[in-house]
Amino acid sequence: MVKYVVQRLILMVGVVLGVVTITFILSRVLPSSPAELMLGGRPTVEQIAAAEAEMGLDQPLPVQYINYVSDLSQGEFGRSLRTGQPVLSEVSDRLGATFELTTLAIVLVVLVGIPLGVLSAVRRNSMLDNVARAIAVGGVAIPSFILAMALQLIFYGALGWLPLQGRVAPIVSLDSPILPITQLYLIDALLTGNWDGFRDALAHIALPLLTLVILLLATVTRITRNMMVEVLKEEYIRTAFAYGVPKSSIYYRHALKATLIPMLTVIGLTYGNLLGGAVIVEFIFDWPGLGAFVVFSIIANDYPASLGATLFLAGIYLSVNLIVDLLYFVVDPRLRTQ
Amino acid sequence: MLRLTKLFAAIFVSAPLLLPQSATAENTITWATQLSYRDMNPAVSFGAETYILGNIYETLFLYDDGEVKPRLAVSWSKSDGGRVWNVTLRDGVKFHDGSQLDSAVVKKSFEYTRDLGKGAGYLYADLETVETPDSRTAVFKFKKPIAFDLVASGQYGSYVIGPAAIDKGHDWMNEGNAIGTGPYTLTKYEPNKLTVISKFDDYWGGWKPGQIDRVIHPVVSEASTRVQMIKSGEADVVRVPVSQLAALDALPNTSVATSSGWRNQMYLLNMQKYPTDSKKFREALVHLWNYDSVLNDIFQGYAKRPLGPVPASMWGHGKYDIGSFDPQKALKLLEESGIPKEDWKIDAMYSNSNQEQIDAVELFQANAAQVGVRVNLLPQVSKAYMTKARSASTAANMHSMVWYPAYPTPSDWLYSLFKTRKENTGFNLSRYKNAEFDAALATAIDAEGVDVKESAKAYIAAQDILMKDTPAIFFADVDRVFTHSSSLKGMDKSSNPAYETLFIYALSK
Repeated sequence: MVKYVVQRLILMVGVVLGVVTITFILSRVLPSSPAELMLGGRPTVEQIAAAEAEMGLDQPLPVQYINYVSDLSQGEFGRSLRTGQPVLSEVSDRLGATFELTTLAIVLVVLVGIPLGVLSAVRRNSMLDNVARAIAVGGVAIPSFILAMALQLIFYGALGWLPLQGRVAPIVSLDSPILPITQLYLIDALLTGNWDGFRDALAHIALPLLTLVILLLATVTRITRNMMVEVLKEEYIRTAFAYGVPKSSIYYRHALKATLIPMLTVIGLTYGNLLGGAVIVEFIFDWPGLGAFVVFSIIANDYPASLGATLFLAGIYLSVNLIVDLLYFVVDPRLRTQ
Repeated sequence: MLRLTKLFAAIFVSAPLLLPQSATAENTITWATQLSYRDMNPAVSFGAETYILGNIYETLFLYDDGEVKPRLAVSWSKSDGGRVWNVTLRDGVKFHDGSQLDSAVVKKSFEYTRDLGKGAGYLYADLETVETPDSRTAVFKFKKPIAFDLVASGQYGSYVIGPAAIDKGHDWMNEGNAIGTGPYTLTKYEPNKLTVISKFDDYWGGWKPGQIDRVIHPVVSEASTRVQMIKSGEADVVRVPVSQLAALDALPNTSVATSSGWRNQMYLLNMQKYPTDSKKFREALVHLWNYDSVLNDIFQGYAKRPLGPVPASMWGHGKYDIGSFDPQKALKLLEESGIPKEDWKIDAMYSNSNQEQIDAVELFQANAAQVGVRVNLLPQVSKAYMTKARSASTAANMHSMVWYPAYPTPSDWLYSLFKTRKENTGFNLSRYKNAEFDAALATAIDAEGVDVKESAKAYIAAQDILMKDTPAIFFADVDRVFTHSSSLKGMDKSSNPAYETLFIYALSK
């Protein structure tokens, strides 16, 4: 297993280097003037030439590439041309927001979706199964932006229960600011005993979280159900029933366990994608996450930010995949001996 | 697991009950913006930051209602043909850190902007020295005549910066620190998320009851979210797409404030690319533009018909018939152009970030098709747009342009957009070359520092030459439009075409 992990880590370094190279080439091929973007406003020809020299853009492309990789190896990601802030701090700040939202979403989806899928499988064609199916079809069919806006209209516009956008109300960030420790506001507010901050952060995360949960619940519920239906036909399950093993034990200890490997794959991939940014949801709710940042950076041809964020995303995606692969060993002991 | 699920469901459902009441102080307003800021150093900023910097920093002069008025300067005079400007400073002005405004501070600020040479610092490239004979007098000496009162009333590169901020440097200011003399201090700055400014108690202009104490200025990218915020009262000031304005104006709790602006829109016609290198062909295109429909249907009345390249609310503008929608006349001009009918096809390139320009050019495409002109639309991501438009190999026949001056002068349009360029196109996407126009423009610019009235005449003479060559379709002098809560007073006084910002000091609740 250790050998496997080492092999995967070496492969990850290769993949990250490939991502850096491809993204770097793409950023240079696209028609734009990074110097002009950095200067902003309406720079003069002289100002643009000076900025290009300052940024090393007058150097040959291979030299620029070597300089960039050399800077990266020292943890220097440069400054965003669009925001003027260091890319590393921009990305890490936003990563916290995305991590908090998507991790909570995945946890909720697992906690709700798997039991719902099991119950649907056990009570096939019952009212519960039909309701779960309706939720699944709805979740898959509704575009995320429609769902997000509908939830805004209901919970903010009509009921006035929940805030519309942002991660925390400006007034709270002024009067009861949440001290960043982990960059996860709910946890940071709890750690510092900032109850106003906690309540506000919880209220702000509710709508984007609900949107993501509804969207993802469909997939997890239906996959769990379908796999459980197949597993429940297996002979060992029938035998367990025959021996009088309690139903809950059969469903959750024996049958569900058999579905865990494909479930882990689906959940892992979904989580990896979400960490890359639930772009539409982040955009509509002005959630200051990584997804919206990457999109804005790409649109603006902000190459230091695009490169830095892409590198982070590649690392996250690869790490999540590695963790999922390692969990296979935990779930299925047979794999450890192979 | 089911128990855990129930627990999470309970937490989620009870979230609304936990929501704290977002009570704000009576004189706090929320101004939601779609803009993100980057250069918080006023010596470098040449963009959207002026919306907030304009309330924190001040210029020596204020351009208002067509004339230069006192601000940090109380009086001024010029000599040596506009090369020397003697400025008397206002007494008793404090910076946000408590230090006093004096001539040495002013000297330091202007020299800092000049030496940095970034943003609009080029405006002071000809500043030789600033002498300080006494604490209230600053004598500016330039290499060439300059309309210093106009230049230094502009919102870019002319703010007086506190000496401590200059000492702490560019990065310190960009981290969200500011020392100005304006009515508001910068109290919080989270890039692309939130800016907060608060009342400066020692502001030289003093304070009256009801004025705004604090402005919460969050970035809200999504237009529909801003609409909901203003409707619900969560925001007091927003900017929304023009399509939303009529509905918002009809609501009892929201109003739309409109004023003339200096931002204008045009399509520059490439005079070096076939077939728009033909003057008759360009004139035909002018008559295929449905001005009334663009102004009334696309801008919904929130823009005015231009009188020429320079907005009608700016001094030195001409009065020209920019054309009328007349397909028959256009067809006649097309035939007179001698260009074969099979070559009546052009490319129109525009930034896909400006909805009005997209709608306008799509309407133009449909109108042009009626007389057999095929318009190929080339939308571009905004940051790639200028690179493609400038390159001879990728340039189109028509290029969209939105312009706003760095300071109150017609030269900003005429010099930047139409002066002959030898090597780099710059913003002259028409590739306009006319020595006669260049000479007339040079005369006008030289006169600006000596006699503004003479300069205005010379600018009009230059525009007379320009308009005969039909280098562009000028189609909209765009109004400044803010949607605000009806309880907010003073919106009419807070808006000035010379400044993009809203002057919060003029507002009250």
